[in-house]
Amino acid sequence: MIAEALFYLIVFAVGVTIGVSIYGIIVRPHIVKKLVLLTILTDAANVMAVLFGYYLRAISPPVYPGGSLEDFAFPSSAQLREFSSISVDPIPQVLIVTAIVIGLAELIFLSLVAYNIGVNYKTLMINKLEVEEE
Amino acid sequence: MRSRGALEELGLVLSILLGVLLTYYLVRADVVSLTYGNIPLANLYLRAVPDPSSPFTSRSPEVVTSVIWDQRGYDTYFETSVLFIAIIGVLYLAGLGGGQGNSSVSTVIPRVIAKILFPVIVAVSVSVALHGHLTPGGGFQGGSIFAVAPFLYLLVFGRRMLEGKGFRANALVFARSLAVFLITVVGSIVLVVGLLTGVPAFLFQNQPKPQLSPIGYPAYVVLPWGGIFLFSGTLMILNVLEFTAVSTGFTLALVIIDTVTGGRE
Amino acid sequence: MTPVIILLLSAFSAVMALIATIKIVYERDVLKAIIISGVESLFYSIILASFLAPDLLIAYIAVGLGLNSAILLYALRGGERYEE
Repeated sequence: MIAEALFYLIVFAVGVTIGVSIYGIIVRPHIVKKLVLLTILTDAANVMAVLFGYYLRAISPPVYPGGSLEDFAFPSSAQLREFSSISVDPIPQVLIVTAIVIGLAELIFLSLVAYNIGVNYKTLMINKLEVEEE
Repeated sequence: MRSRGALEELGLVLSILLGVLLTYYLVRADVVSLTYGNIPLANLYLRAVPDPSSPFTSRSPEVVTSVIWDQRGYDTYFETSVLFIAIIGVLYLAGLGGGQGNSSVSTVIPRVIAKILFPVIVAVSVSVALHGHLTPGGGFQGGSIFAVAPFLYLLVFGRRMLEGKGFRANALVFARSLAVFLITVVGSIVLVVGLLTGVPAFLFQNQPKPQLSPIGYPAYVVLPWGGIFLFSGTLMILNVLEFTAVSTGFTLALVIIDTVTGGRE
Repeated sequence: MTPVIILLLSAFSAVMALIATIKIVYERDVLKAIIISGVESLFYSIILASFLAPDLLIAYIAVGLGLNSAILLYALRGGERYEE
């Protein structure tokens, strides 16, 4: 019973983190503050996706043990049936590996844009960006 | 903490409520559930991938990497192209900024530590990338670990020293484009061979599928001194190529963001 | 059944991550906010480790702990450091 309570506490904590970071992105005027909260939002969403694949009886990550180069013996289907009953769901992990790497590439791009905004408009505050009247 | 206006207070409460509602419905819809085991698709992947007799096999114990490259090859391929385009965006922005370099030199301690850590980080990242099809790891993870090493040199010694070590911008761009091109080639070789020999084959196909397509990559090579070298067909090759693409891409992006924002010369 | 101590640890880090996010939203000094977000990445990698996701853990440690805060510091060079 304790385990379920703790698990749902984690899920709700990550869910509220997603909500709060969305709020922060909208409300806070400083561009880099928005970027910080954006990375937190993507990381929280990634962790939430990992929590989707978890269930209480899961013990092993989605990697069949004993995968060394020399003596790898392919497992029989019976062993795999037992492996799949104790292993965590691999699908969210597959999607999140590439999401993390692309999140970093996107962050580099966004922070370069933020730097250019800061240099050209001499401020990083959204509400202080001077708009040239024609 | 500043004094919060009433509107801000309301906004915070609403966002927390949004978080709680989002999670409540996820739990009610059994997306996040503790009691059920794996969904059928997950069980299919877990049971089929390491099992050589099943049609979906990629003969690798590491289910995550084989699903990344073999079962969902298109998804990963286009994610790699998104990474490629993001770095192209960074390259474009590099042309705009001025960037005045400063020439202060860092003290002895970071210099020594950086010199010690650089080979260690590179060794770890290469090993993570190379055994990606056997134990947790892979091209993406290895590439992002690798990007930390030149970044460390960039912070401590500056760009000129880094370029001295061979991380020149055009070399990085060339290696990156070559790696992504080779991923395309490796993914489509089996299809081209199938078209030529009139045998049904798939794009991004790894192992021969018993009823569907008889051709495919070999899963392992029997070494002359006994023992087998298991590389699970395309998995190891694509992991190595992805490692090159991600590591050169991130090194390039980090060098550029450092020079554009006025890093150390 | 995963040991309760692991769930306890990840529950602690999830709550700490939430507190860190709220602190970041109400923090005037953006530089401090970036440092806090680095610490929060540590909490998330603890959660990833305790929920049996080694692939993600390896990727996330290199990206989240290492490069995220460094790149945000570069973005901060373009403008002022304090908000409002």
